[in-house]
Amino acid sequence: MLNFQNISKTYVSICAVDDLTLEIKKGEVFGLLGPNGAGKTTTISMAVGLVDPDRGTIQINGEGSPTDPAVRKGLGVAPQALALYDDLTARENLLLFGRLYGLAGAELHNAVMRVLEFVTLSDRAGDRVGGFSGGMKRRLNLACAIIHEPDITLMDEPTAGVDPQSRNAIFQLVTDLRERGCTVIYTTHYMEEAERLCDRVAIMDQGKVIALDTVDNLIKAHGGQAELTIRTSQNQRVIQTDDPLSDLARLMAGDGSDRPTSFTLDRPSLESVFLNLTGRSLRD
Amino acid sequence: MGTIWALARKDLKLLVRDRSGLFFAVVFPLLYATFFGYIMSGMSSSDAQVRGIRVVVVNNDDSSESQAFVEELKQDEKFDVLVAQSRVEAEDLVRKGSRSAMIVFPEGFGKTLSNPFVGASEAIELGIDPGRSMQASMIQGLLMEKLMSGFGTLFNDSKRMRSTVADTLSSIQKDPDIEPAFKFLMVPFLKSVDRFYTELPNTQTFAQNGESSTGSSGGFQPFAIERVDVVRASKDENPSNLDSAFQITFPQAIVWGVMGCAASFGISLVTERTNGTLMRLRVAPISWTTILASKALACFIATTLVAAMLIAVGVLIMGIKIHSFLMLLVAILSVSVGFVGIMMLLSVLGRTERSAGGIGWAVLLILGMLGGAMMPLEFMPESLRQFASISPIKWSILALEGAVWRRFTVQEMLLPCGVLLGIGLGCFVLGSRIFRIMGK
Ligand SMILES: Nc1ncnc2c1ncn2[C@@H]1O[C@H](COP(=O)(O)OP(=O)(O)O)[C@@H](O)[C@H]1O
Ligand SMILES: [Mg+2]
Repeated sequence: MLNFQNISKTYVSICAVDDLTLEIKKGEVFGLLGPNGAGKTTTISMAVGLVDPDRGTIQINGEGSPTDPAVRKGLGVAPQALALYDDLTARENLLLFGRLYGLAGAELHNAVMRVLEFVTLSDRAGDRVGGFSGGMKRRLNLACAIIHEPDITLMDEPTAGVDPQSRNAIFQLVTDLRERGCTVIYTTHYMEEAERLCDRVAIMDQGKVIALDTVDNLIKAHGGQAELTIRTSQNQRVIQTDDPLSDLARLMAGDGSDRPTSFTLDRPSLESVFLNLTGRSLRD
Repeated sequence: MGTIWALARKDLKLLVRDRSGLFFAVVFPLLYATFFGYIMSGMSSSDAQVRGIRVVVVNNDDSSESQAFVEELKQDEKFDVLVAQSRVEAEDLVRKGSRSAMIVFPEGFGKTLSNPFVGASEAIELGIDPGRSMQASMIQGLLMEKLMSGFGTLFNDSKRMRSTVADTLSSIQKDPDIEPAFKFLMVPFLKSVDRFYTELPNTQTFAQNGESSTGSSGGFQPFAIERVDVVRASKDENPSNLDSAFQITFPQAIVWGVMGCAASFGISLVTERTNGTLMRLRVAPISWTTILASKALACFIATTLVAAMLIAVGVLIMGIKIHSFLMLLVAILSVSVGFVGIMMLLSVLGRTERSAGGIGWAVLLILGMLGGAMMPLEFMPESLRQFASISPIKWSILALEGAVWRRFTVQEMLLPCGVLLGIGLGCFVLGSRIFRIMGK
């Protein structure tokens, strides 16, 4: 669906993306996870033809490079920076971006109604965007990206600066898009989001993909052991384990003072994957 | 084309919703046109502070007196004199607005100068730029004052002079040694000098009321000044061209309006670059050319509409007479093209909205001042006026005035309109190149 072949991009002295090779498959929600400055936005920008890579090629749908306007027709982009006209209403923004993708007439108006519904902004359609909350703007930003029903939707940090309610609405949106068979590329520096939404995750750091797999496989391979904390009537201890369930079952089968009265389980997460791979935490 | 129009419509909508943009594009020009029009209409024509009135002189008299007079005129701070070889050349300079007035000294002028009492020579022709017709009386008065000042040292104090004349007269009449023939000549002469002083209004009166100095009867009239028409004779009976100050202020106001539009759209490009909407446009399946063409189209439509609105107000409410509506249309379209280019260049003057707006307006104000958008070029000091031609505003005003009251021919319209089209295209190409580089 979307192929990066040995892509590099250097800004003056900073190597923002370093020899990146990725293949994003049709219908998957693909996560780009990494701390600020990892090169996620640069990667997205190259994928949509905003930035020319210094080296390497990008192929979309086997049709060619995104620098070709015709190829971009199948892309929908929700930029990290909110890109909306504050002095236009929500509907006017959507009408404009719809027209740019060749929608017109009844088809356009239906599309506007549909996406407004989709991001639950129908009741605010006639209001100027300037008066919207951060979360509402984020949702409209997404709506503008998908008005033309693109094959591939790229969302750059879609939950930045958003209230919990809007955040959940955006999660729901991504799930809905997946159910419709859309391909989604989702960048974030929140590992919970990647874990929750993404089929596959590429972990980026300093312009490089340092790991790429499904969430489960990444955790299995790089997450380390789970931490099982056991409290008995006398003491409390921590067990590092690959298989906490059988460990717990074994302890419960025991008797006397060794029998746990309570326990907590810390499963490894993408956070620990990142920590193990880089020696640093995702939140810098 | 559909997408270009969709984008242009968006920009026009944004302009209408932007209060400050709308103020500079519409409200301010309207205020300017009406307010300054009224002020200029009421402006007194006697201005003692005048300096450097740009006149072009044609001397058809080859006497040393007339040449000396032209020299004297050159020395006078009130005048800025250019000597032309022919009347045609001089007329042309005035009609095109590069000189405020033309003065033609007739043959025999030197004789009148050396002896005003021989009677007036042929009339001195004074052709005044119709754009300065409100200053016509003043210019005429100053010229008359200058003519009379040749005798000023001699006749400065008319009372004292009259007593001197009376003394001389009586001593001549009494003196037995004086030849009777000489007495015969001198007595009537001195009597006529006496009468001259009795009837001569002081020179100040000439200066303040030059008009009456031509037509009044009975006064001392050594020099006749005849006002001639320097504007192309028209087919209609009424040859007067500039009959209201609004004919000056409305073209200026149009230029203010298009400057407002250009600034507004130039800044909006910077805004789109900084707030990310430009990125969204670039991601859409449209080309750079479409994006920039839509901005140009929106700016072009806005400037043309603003100009049309101002003309409508001028014609319908202020009663401005328009020489040629067709030429006015051509002028307005040329001005719009010029300012579309300027808009594009303004958009690359700053990285942020604020810096682009600040630098942009500063540049526009300087160009506006240089080009005569604040005060007519003729009133500006020479040191500034020589830079006027670098200002697109000068060419805009000239094109508009050419169509409104300067009665330009098609050929004469070519220069300002051509310059504007050239500025528009040049600036647009340059600006869009830089803009694309900055957008990357
Ligand atoms: N236009 C630019 N000019 C110079 N440096 C840039 C530019 N855009 C990004 N960078 C640098 O490239 C690196 C990657 O940035 P970015 O792709 O925005 O990271 P992310 O989106 O993962 O936070 C950062 O170090 C950033 O400072
Ligand atoms: Mg980013």
